[in-house]
Amino acid sequence: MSPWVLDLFTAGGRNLLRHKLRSALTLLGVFFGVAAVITMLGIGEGAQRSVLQEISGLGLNNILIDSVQPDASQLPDSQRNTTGRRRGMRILEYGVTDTDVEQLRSACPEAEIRVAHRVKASAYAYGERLDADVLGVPPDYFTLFDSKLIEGRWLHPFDSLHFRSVALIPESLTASIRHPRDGGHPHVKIGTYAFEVVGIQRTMAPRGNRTIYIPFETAEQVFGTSSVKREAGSMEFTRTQIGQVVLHCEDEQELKRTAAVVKRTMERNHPIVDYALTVPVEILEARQRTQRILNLVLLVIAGISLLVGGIGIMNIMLAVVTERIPEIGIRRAIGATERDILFQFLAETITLSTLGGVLGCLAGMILVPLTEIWTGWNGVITPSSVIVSLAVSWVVGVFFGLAPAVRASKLDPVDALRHG
Amino acid sequence: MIRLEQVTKQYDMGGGLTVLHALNLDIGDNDYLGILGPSGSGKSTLLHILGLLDRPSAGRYLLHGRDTGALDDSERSRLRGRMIGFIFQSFHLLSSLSVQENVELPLHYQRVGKAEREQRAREALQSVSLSHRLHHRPNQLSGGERQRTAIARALVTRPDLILADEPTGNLDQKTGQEILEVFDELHQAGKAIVLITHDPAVARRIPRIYHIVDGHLHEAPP
Repeated sequence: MSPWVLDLFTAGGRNLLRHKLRSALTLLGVFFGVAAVITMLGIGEGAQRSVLQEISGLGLNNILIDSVQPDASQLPDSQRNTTGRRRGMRILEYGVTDTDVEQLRSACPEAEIRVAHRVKASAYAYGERLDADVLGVPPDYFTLFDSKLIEGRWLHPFDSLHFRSVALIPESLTASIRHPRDGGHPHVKIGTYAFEVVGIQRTMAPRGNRTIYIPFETAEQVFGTSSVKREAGSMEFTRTQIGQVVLHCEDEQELKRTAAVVKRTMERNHPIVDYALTVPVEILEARQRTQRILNLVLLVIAGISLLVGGIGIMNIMLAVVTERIPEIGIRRAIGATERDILFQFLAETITLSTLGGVLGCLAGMILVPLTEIWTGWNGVITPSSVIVSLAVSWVVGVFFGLAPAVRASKLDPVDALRHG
Repeated sequence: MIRLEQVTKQYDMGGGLTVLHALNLDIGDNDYLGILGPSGSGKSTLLHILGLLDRPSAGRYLLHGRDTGALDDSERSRLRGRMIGFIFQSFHLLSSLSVQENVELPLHYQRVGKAEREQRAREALQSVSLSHRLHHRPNQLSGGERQRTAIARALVTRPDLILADEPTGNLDQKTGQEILEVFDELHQAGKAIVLITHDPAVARRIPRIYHIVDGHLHEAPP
């Protein structure tokens, strides 16, 4: 910075300090505006990252098809099979079938496909029912997701080969399964069968934090594909061949192509929608679109508060120019050019707005973590948001300071001197 | 150094008000001249034109042979800052600055470095016997001291011409005499001075006197 510019801002700062209260009130607008911008950008960025983390956990190159029991009213009579001596008994077959998987394998040869078996039995630990799904999965199921082993081991191909009763539990169930009375290996009961817990993991697979994983072959062997639900006066048999299919593609182009094939195949094979198709990348795009709109709205609000702050500065600076007309005359008489006067007033406005901006940034840095605590939203302050906010406050100073500064510089020196 | 040729100043106020009528004036390098006239006679307007704060409506103003009418605002301001020192009746010091800072101010507009500014301001204040008041504010000074500060501010740029507008008008007689003695010293040091006054007692000390009446300038006989 040249000595002249330094002098200019030093003098500007001193002039502002002469009227501390007025200066403080003037910079409040920019202070609140910048604090709002930092907070909005911080919360927006935090939300963006949360969405990205959540969805990319599902595997951005994955396509998931889950079997879903359709509402009974949607089913045709043929599907509501009431037979035998016991009226009210029905067999409901729904969800993804082996045929679907065969067709998908041949239609999408480049995609890796994993098939999981959804066990309909409930899980218990020490007599207490666990709020958890049970999924029979192949050993390589976790390679498709963002998964991490916390303790123990993954499911092994030998577990499937030997139909072992072993389970991998999510981190969230650790407290329920590790009981003080338990001296040996922890166990979990699924239906009426005991499963040894061999590992604790954290995964971003769908509902992964509430899912107990057991070997696929064990699940099929022990629990089969059917389940019975008994209600007063009726029994409902349900049969699902496949609980979940995951297709993994190499790249985005392949993913889009595969997603289209999957949609076509499933729509053709399932006139009644008894499956849920999830394409994480599509969800991500939709959420990002929503987030962008939200960010824009938030920024417009912050922008309005900055605009109000800027107008406040301009208003005060116009009054200051009027108040200091004699001073302007004196300065012109001793050699100040129009530009010198212009820069003098502009320096004061920029000093005000930049100071407001810096204080606003600091306030934003405090507000973002506080908002996190109060609301549970994620907030992230990036260097770029700080730079943008400071730049904006500087631009506000230049933009709104220009009119008063030009007015000061264009004053006729003789009139200004007479004003005193 | 200065030549005014047929300088006229008119204001567009309801049909035009002529304040100065085709003035001709020559000011040499070491001239000390006084301009006397009643209020509203055009004294201050003439001083503002001489100080490049105002422009004549007609005629030519030559400074060191250069026609100032062709100069833009920046050039006029720079020339004013470098060659002309103003001294006003009401001192026109900036109350927010110290005595030394007030004197440094013209040098700031000439982009003189801080160390040199301080050095030259101290020298200028020493020449008007105010070395002991460097860090005082103008409102802590007497009228005479304020005018001395204004003189120091006018001298700090080492100007060729000093323009003084009723410099003793706000001072008591004794202090006024002291200030006029400072002007005598400046004249002896080779500065050109134009002093505006309506006080005949002040005018008696000035070697060359002009009367201005209704915008017409007449040189008084020596």
